[in-house]
Amino acid sequence: MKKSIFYLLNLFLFMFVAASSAEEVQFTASVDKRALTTQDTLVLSLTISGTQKVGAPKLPPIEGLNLIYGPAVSSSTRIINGAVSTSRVFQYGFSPTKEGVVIIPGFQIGIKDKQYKSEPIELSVEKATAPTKGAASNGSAEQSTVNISDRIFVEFEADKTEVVLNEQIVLSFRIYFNIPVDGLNYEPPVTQGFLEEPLGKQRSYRKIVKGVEYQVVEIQKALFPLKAGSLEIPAVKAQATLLFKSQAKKRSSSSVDGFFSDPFSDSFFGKRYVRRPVELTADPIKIQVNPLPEEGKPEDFSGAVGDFAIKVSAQPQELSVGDPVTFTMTVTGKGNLKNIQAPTLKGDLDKFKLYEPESKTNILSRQNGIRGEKIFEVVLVPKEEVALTPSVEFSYFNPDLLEYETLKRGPFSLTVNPATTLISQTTSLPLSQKKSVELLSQDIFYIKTNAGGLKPIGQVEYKKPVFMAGLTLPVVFYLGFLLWVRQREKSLLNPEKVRFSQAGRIARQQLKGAKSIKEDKETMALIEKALVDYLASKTKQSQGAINVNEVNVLLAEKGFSEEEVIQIKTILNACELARFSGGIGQGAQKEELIAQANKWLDRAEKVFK
Amino acid sequence: MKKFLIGLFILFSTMSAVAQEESLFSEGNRLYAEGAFELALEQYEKVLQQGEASSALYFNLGNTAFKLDQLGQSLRYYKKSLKLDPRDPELKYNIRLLESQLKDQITPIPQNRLLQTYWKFVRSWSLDHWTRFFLIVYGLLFIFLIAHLLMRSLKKVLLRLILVNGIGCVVIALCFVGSISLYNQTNAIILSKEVPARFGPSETDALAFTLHEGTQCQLLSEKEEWAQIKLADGKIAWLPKKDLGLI
Repeated sequence: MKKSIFYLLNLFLFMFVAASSAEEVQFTASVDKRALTTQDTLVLSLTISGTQKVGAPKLPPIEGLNLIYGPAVSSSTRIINGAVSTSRVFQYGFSPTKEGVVIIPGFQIGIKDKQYKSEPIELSVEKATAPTKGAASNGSAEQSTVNISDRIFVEFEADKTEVVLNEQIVLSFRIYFNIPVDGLNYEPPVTQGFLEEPLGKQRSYRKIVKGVEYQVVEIQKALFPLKAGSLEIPAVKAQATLLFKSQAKKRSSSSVDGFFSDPFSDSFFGKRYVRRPVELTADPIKIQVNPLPEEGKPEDFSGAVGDFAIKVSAQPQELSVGDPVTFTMTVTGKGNLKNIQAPTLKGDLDKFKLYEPESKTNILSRQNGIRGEKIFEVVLVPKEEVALTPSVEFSYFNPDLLEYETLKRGPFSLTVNPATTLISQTTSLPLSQKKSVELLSQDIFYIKTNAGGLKPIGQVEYKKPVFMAGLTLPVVFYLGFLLWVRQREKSLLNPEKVRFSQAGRIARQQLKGAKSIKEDKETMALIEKALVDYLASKTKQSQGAINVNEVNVLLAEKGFSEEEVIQIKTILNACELARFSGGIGQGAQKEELIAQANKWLDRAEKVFK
Repeated sequence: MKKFLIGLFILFSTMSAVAQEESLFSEGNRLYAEGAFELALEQYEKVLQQGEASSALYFNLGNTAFKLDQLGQSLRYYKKSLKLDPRDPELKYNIRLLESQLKDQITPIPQNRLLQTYWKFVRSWSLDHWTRFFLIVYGLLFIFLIAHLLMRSLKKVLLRLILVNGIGCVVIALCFVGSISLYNQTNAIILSKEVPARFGPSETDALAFTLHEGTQCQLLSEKEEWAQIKLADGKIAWLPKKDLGLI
């Protein structure tokens, strides 16, 4: 959470910095008052507007003024009508040490290769009038007597400034103070071209400097340069809040010093302490990194720089051909242990099967530089009977003596007995230190005998058109069904329409039914009913509303030809006649009538479409 | 008639090509059984050159490379095989065996337990499997939807089926998408015994750390002869391309 806010803030700042880059840079110095007494506090503000990428300017000592705190840093960003203006203000508190005219000289500051100068300021200092309430009106008698730089200061140093590549440098940052301090905040430098290693926790001790006892907080870090050339460790900043004792119990409104407008007096601590934030900056350090000399460089030198010793042991000393012997090589000393490569093995290496070394780094001490050990373990398997192990050589560069040194150990004696058992193929597995012996009986599974569905390399099913079809077809089907169902529902809601569209089918069914009935009279009645029902459905009338005699009028309206009208009338009349007179409908006539009715239905279906 | 003949010709030629690759494969198997691993490797690689592959082929290539003491290459082929068939127990066993012999021990960045389970689940099936699962569930969902339109009497039952199936479809779609992203991630394996990893793409850049054969990494970008890689623990560095084999 904190982190994200920090990033957000950074982004915010970055945006403004970017926005303000076009703004003109201005540098001004101002004081809160021009006339003051020897007991007043003078607040000097150095304002840099138009940029925020600037550190505190260096203040030269000013004659007649004693620095009592500062700089207190504040930044502000304002947006007026879309125009962004940024500024950074450094505030210093001074107390006058003499009466008369005091001149604050103009200050110089370099921003982006350009020099800016502020105007000098003239002050007049008068002797303090008798204080109204005994104590000093600004409530900090102690404050005005001692210069702030004697109460708190920082020291930033490297133990060496000229080194060779990969040599250890110990960086120390110390804050000295002999005044109560509330919060100490230290921003470690961001280095480039170095490998960093922390050196323990911060230390705190007391030290006497020029006869004054100080509390010291020390932070150390080890650096290993990774490239040659002139490298710079950037400036380090620390922030602290100083607590000054304040004697004033209650401030009178008549005291016209800067205290009232002082933003740093704490209402909670107000009775006893006054809080003064300060920002302390230490200068950057230049480190000259020299490349390692080529002269006298041993062949097996692998980049180790420092002061080292080596210890070698081999276990077991008696074994059979094909059994492993473990070589343990321990390199101890001061330097960048992480970068150290395994010592070289020399001797009859052909007689052994060698495995890659494994290593482990232990840091033993982080006091005044990294000291530790790196343990390498190499597994050797003698292929035949040998009496001696290979010897071990380790080369490093000693930066104190400025020369290369080579340490030699071994060879050690070894008793190798002839192989007792047949060496199975599995021993061709590289032995790993991580594994126990029983793993020796393990091997990979045998190859597959079936090629198992060879297919073009890189072919995946989701890129095939079939997949796309599989994705789209269901949707298309679903939409199709949806449309169909909607359509059907719509027509189901309108029974007349259903009747209209199904009339032809129903009529034909009825005619079919009529055919199978033996009783002539009933057959005729059914034929008539089929046709009348059909006409009723098609003309959207009830069945009773169809009058056989008026059919011609009805059909003519619907656009039937005269011939068609006569046809239907003939059929209907025949049916009617048969129904009432009876017996007329003979088998042949009946069938012909049904055929005629069917034929007429065909024509009618086309007309009623 | 002419078209038919051409079709027939194409059919036969593809069939004979497949048959040819099958014979290369079994020839490789025969040589492997005889212990002529180098020759076996050649035969298997010929199949690859024809542009064809299968999980079994990569498995056999992995075995052969292992027998030839090429740990990195072997692991690379096994991983390729795993991509096509993540459920083969023999393959998983071989990979475990090889990985226990790696020099570099890399602790992956700890992940949320839910995410861990998700990726484990996604990895347990191949991309083609997920594609099929997804299509089945997806098709089923639409069948239920259509049935829901048509069968009024079963509306309630179908609605429940659609709900369950819909949730299943979303879950499988998530796995499917995850599987696609895994498939499209370019991973590589270090093939050389020891490789210095640098801060930048040139010999003059400072050494960051050294990596050993068989270590897997993710390929981020490439520049001329160099590749930028990311390890499972989040470390990023540049390596010469020649020391890497793509999975």
